[in-house]
Amino acid sequence: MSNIVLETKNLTKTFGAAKAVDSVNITAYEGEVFGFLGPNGAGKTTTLGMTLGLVHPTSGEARVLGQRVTPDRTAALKNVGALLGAPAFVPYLSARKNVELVSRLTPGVNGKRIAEVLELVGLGKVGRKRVSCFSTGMKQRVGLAMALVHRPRFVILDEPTSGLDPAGMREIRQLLRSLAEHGTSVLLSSHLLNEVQQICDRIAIINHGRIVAQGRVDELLNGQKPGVRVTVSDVESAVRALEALANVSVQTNGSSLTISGADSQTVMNHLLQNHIIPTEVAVQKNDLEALFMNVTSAK
Amino acid sequence: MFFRLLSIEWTRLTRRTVLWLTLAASLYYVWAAVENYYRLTSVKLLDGTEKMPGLAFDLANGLDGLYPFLMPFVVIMAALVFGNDYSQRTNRHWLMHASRSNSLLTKFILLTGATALVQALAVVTAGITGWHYKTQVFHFALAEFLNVNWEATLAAVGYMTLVLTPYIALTALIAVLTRSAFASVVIGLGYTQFIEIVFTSIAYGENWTRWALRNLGFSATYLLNSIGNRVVEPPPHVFSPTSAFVVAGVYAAIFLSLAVWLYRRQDIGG
Repeated sequence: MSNIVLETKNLTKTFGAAKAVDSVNITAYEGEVFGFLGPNGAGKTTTLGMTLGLVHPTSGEARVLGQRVTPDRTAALKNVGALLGAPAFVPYLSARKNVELVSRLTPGVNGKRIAEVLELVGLGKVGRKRVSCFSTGMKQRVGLAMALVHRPRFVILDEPTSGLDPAGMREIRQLLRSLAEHGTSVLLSSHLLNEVQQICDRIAIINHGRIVAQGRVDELLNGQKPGVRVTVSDVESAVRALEALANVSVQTNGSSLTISGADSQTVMNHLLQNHIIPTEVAVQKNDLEALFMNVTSAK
Repeated sequence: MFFRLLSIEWTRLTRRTVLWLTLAASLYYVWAAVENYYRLTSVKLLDGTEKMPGLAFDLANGLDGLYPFLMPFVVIMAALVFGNDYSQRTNRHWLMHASRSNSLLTKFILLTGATALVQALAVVTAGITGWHYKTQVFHFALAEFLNVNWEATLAAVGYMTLVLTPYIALTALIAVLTRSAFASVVIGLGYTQFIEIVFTSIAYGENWTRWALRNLGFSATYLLNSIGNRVVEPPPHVFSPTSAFVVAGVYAAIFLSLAVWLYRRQDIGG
């Protein structure tokens, strides 16, 4: 196994009585693209904030590149680049000046590297323009350039393709993949499950502040039981009928039922035998979206 | 890291309109104040000869008038420097590589330096304006550089800067508390332009209100008055010049320490 670039141990954050992050344990390895997923408000950004020393954990600890973030944040994050939430920049300065300002924090970055990183994120021709004149997608690229300018060993990116057009998204996906191939580890937090499935080696899914799934993408998908989704008018009767089947689990979401452990024909036959006629039947694909919905809709 | 942060903050500050606006307004104000003095005032001796004050007077005159004028600009500048780090979310860049106290202290030092620079340039402007009116407009031959106590002039700039530092520190504290440049401007100006004046007025009343004399504005004014040797008869219980000098430093230290203490405990991001 490669070296660990990020490890959290029972990382917890409470705000008053509310537990935003509850005993989170995640591990990301060198040279991989690690996906960090979760619904809105699940605790993704708070967890990332704690790994970057911006949010103080209530308990637990985070180690980045082998060093504890608390108490010596600056030593642990020396070789880390980050884009957390919306990009942070000085609006009245040019893209180039913004990248240059951030580069002053780490020694060894020269003008050539700044030009190179601007070119890398597709801002080579507009580097001298004020960031306040940029579109959302271009601002996102400035944020990426700021995260990458000092050649970090580990990059933490929260929704890096937000605001980009499809071509731009693809470009950034290729960039992230190429970074990982050249040895830079990437933690990618995204809502775009298709994007995550395409470029991530491993993922963790957080829901209500807790990690509900973690592992290699292919292993997690293969480990999924085939599922069938049906929509019925009488939910209670349908659940009762389906639960009589052996090895079947049923999850409800309004009038929609997700059934695992039986194929579509068995489900249909059983429902019809019980005089329940579904209005809609769909076989769930074995993809990240299905996995995400399964683990995040479970009570 | 301290000097790297300082260079970043220097670039950010010098690219801001507010710094150049403060400088331009201050210099114009000083020029206008000195010009106004010479246009309206002429000193005639008993034998009928006309006299003009010396360069030292121009320098002191410019600096003295600048203090109340400069204060709101300093508050606005400080509010933008400290508060915009939250609104532009840029603090997350610096805080990944530098300590929180360093980040706050560099801003404070930079603003103090900028305040001193504006005042030093204002003093020079006052001198040039006075020289221009005396030699070019009124045709007085004056060569009086040697008559100026330059050490005292520099010290006066230093004192003036010192009495403004509690306001910079107070604005830093407000910005950290509210996480907003706008709120810092409003509360900072509200305090300096309204509450402080009310405090000082109350303090001249009954005995129980005397605590209010320890407010920032009164301490600063008293300090400046004592430096300029123009002290109106002070109430006996009020600070001596030395303690007033200390008070400005203590106020600044308390506000700044509180701001740093809060900033170190604050969750940023999300």
